[in-house]
Amino acid sequence: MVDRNDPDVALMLRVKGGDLSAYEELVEKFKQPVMNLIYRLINDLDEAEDIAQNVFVQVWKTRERYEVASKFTTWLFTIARNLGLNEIRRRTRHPADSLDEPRPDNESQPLRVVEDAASPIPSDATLSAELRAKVEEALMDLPEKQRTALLLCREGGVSYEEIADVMGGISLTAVKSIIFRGRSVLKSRLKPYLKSGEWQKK
Amino acid sequence: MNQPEFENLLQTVHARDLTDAELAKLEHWLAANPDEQDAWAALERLLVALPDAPVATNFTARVLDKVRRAEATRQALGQAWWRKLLAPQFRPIQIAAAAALVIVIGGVGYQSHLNQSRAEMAAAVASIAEFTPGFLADFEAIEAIAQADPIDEELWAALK
Repeated sequence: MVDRNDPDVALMLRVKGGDLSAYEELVEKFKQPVMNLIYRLINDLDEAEDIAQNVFVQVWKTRERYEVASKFTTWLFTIARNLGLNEIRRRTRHPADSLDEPRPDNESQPLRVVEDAASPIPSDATLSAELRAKVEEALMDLPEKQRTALLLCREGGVSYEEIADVMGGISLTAVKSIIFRGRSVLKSRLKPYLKSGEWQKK
Repeated sequence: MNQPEFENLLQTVHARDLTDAELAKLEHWLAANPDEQDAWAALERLLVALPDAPVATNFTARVLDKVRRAEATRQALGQAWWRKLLAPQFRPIQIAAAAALVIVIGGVGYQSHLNQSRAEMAAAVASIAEFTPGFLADFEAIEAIAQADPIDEELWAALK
């Protein structure tokens, strides 16, 4: 059972009571991990941001149904994964859909404001652009379950038990197997870099 | 566990989920083989070193905007469904609905009254049939008397 005094749970309970400032705090706190997961699930930055926003809208809409049965992040990542999967299914059904189709609303906010539009992914001192591309490509080639499990692992503090819950209540051994399977595929694809340690020298 | 067994487990994990015992063997093998462990740790570091996805600076503002619009829509819908029906522009619909209600109530009431009358009549006939079986046995003769015009004196006398 999760402690009701856990900061995330306490924050969500305030949101459940309709506290909009708590909700804003919650969005600020979790927008990055949610974006990381969805972006690498669907590999489309604009669409990922739209879906990530909808994840938080969904959190608000369903706040009254939130129960302190598990960690807040389990609930949040479950919503995120479900919306990401819906998008993957939609793309499978309608592969020709244009990403440039008009937005459905006349929102007062500008669509997207990024600090550095010339560089969609910020550069990182430890990974060269080429290696980053290789890793991203290898990740994208993994089946969805392996990718989701590895991405959740990557977010600090997400346990195997939580991953099992996010992935629809599968067993712990299944989670470990999925993660091991994904890692072994990545390991064989990225072997040269792992052996040379090239990326660590940069 | 030796190297071939480890390779074998690697093959197995691509075919099916490993059992608890197999996973334990695997973890034990990795713990006992620093080279292998290093490779897995390097992979882990590589994944962690991936940059975060960029998030627009107005992300939160846009979420709040969506939520406010969703709330406004929800409230508008919540109020509308019954209050709108009472608005003056729906007067003909209100009158038609009231008339339909009266007709339905009247129809149901009348049908209920008919059913009750039929039930009472059936009960009355049943009680007569139960207590005076001979009465109904002479029914045809009595009916013939009623229809006879003028009175058949012979029949009347016979009945007496």
